[in-house]
Amino acid sequence: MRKNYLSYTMALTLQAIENGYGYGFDIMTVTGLASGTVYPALRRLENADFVASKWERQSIAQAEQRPPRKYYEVTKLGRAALAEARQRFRLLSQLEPVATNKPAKQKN
Amino acid sequence: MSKKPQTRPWLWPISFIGVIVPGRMRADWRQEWEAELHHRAVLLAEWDRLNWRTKLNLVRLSAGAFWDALWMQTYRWEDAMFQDIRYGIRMMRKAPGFTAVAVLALALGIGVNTAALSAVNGMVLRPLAVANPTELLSPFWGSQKDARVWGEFSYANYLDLRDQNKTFSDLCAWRETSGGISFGESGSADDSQRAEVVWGELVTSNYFDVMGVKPLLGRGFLPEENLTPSANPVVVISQAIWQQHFNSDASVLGKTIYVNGQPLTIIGVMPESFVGSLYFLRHSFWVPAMMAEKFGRRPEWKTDRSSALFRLYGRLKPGVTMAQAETDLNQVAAALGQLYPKENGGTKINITTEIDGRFDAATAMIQYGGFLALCVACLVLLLACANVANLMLARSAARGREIATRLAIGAGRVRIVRQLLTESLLLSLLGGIAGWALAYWGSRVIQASFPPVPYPITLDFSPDRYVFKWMLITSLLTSVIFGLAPALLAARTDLIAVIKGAPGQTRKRRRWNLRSALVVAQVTISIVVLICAGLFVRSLRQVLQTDPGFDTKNMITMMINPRLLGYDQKAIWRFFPELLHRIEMQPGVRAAALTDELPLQAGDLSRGPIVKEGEADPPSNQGYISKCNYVSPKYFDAMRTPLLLGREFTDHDDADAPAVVIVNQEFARRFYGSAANAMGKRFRFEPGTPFMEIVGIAKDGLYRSLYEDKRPYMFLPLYQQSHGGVTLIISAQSAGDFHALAENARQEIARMDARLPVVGLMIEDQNLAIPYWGPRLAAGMASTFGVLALLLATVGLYSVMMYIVTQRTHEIGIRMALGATLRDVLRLIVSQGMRMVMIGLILGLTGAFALTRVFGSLLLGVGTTDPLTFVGVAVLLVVIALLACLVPARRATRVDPLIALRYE
Repeated sequence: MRKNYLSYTMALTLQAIENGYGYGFDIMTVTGLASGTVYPALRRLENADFVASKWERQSIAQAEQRPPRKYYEVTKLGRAALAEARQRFRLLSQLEPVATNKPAKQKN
Repeated sequence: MSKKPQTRPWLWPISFIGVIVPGRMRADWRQEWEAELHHRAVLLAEWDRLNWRTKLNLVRLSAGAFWDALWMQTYRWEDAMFQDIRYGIRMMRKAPGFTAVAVLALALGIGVNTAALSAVNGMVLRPLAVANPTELLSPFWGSQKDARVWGEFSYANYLDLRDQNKTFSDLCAWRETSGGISFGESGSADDSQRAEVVWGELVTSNYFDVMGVKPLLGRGFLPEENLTPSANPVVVISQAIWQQHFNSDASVLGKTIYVNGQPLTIIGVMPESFVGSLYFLRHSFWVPAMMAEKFGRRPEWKTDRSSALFRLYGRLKPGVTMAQAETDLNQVAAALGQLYPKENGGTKINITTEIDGRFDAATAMIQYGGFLALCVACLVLLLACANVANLMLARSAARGREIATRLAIGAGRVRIVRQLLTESLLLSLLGGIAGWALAYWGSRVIQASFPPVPYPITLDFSPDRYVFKWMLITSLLTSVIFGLAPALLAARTDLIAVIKGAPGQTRKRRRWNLRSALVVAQVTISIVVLICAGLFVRSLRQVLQTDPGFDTKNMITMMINPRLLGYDQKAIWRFFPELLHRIEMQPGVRAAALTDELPLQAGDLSRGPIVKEGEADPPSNQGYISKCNYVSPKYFDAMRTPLLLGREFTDHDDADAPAVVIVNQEFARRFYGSAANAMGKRFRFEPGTPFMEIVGIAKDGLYRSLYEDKRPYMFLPLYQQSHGGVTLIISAQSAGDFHALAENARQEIARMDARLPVVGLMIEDQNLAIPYWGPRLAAGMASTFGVLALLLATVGLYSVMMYIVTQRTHEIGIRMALGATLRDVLRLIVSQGMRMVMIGLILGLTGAFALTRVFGSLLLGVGTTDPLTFVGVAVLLVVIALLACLVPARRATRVDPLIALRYE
């Protein structure tokens, strides 16, 4: 498989991140994919430099007495790949963006 | 936010799975997953939805981490695992002998397991090719007296059950039937028009919907096509028929085929994968149940509630359990029992899945035997594991210096254990691949052993994907079983001692103990397996010696069915006597007869209840139902079954003559006290049937199964019963060219009606191939396992003794220098080996004693504690073990004290 080829799962994951769902679990909720699918997709995307991951600031986590979370962002390279993938997977554009600051999981 | 400590089971998988994540990413990986799960749990708690269901869901989510972790394995290219593998492959190539023996032992172990599982899978486990096969349920009908019932349903009862139940989304009925299928106008005597005998099913219109299969072409049946008897001559054919006879032509719909002389219009073609309702039989056509009369059913079949012809398949409504459905159907059955007490009183219904419904009480043995074979195969695998573990121990002892060096330059013990485990994993995977090839070959052998039968059997014993998965899991488990203990021991090497120059001798006592424990285990297991083998072989001998009550000497049989050509009952009754007379006129024929079914074949005819003249009818479903067979004149002569009293049936015992019957000794004894007393007495079946006079008493025999006890049996005259399909028995005057005789008979049949198909020619012992198949297969498989077990145990014992001799060379040298004779040394070594063997022997005999009870019902004429087998196996093992000890012991005697002591 070519390194830069986006499978539907990966494209969907990328689109979800682009739409503002930065955490693995949020992506699962909004795309309906299983955890065993989303995470390997994230790893591949990160490997291909389509997304970059960052750790949440320790201070925020400490304030809420929980471990810091890791969130993902689409890179420039990723944006280009996504644009290409949207040509192939028309349904991608129907994925809704984050409306508010509230986590998307409320639809769960 | 005050937090009270709580258990978070969804975090457990993370810490557990994290172990396999490459070390340099593990911390990050764990933190990400834990943070996400934590966050989700907090959110759920905020919405008051952290109930057990969402908790379970969280656990499920966290299990997804496994796939993530698995994916991360690709990062290991430069990591330790791949180093281990590369190193492992190098080590294996450096010791080809060790690798070959270990792989071979594992291949044998995994191979027999996989082959046994393939056979069980093909026979018992593989589901039907229908939608959601596990949801297909099969109700059975029978008397409340029985714990479990396996009976079929009458059509009228089926309709009531279908319409009155509240738990099934749909319920269909089916009945297998054979048919002579031809493709041109019947009636012409052209030989090319000879009909082909195939199997098909009479089904209700909802049948294909319930099964969940779609036709490849055309459609299934419409409800209106199954309302009026014989009104809609339509047929759905199999893909095989479509390909062979219509060249896969799409315009086949609307064409006509002739089944049993009846023109039927093709409306659909079923895909190849769908074989029909019975998992072992390939069906070629399906017709509406309303066509039953064209397939030899009496016109009353539709309304007669005592005529149980159909089996049912159904699917439940969503959310209904099998227990609820069973209660529901039994309520309907109880109501039917009140409405029709004569036929339906005292009955009940059991529901099983299709798979569980394959084997009724009488054939459950097949299932049971299959699982027993699996258990024994597992024992052989354990044996192979013990063997390889021993080899690994010897090997890690030899590698003591290497391991000590690695430890000395800073390798962790965990790392050493992992390295050694990787090597055993590689070994077991190689063994698994070789075992797969072996299993493939083994399943071929099992398939080839299946006797020739005149039915289109679809049993496929070749290993499939399910078996492959099992094989992989078995290989992995195996590597842990045989690799873990040696690896742990090797990592405990006493560094200082080794570096000081005593390679492999450290902790000798300890290692010796594990090794001898393994030898004891091997001897124990091989004794158990050998005793199983011995019992099955003895049982087979017993089977072959058992008198089945008839003799296949000089006997030829073949099957014909004039009804397939549309003969009516009168024509058949004219056809049969004429045929027999013509055959008997042929040179070399001693006697010829017809029977509905040969004894010990699959058939299972029965009639009842038995009502003796002058006695009252028993309450419904309570009388004695006796097994029976329909036979022509000279049947007993042709089968060489002695008649103790009375006479055979004659041509005069036909439909117009008084009803007569011949019974066996057991029948006479059970109902009349003695044979002499039974002669001339009369009995009948249900009210309305004529009284039959007992005109003959036949010697007891075996009728349904080799394993059955003596049971009452009746022979009814073929010419007084409505029958079409029969087996022709020809008894030749002497051994000779049976094929010529068979060909003569075939030609004689063709002269009477050229279109009549003759199938299933069997000569002499072939007639016993089916009943003997089970015991033969059991004995064959058990002795294969036994030989393998013996081989593995011998190799194991031999290699350990060799090792011991090598270890004790020094000591032996001293002993000899101090004046020990050759005999002393020999005794020393042999007694050390035989001590282990004797412990194993006692354990094995005890184990076998306990284990063999489990399969007592599968043995014929041999007790589960058969002394000959137990003693024989013990002696055999002791002799072989002695040999395995003697060779290394002789090597020990050749130790030259000078050389052995030179290093001191």
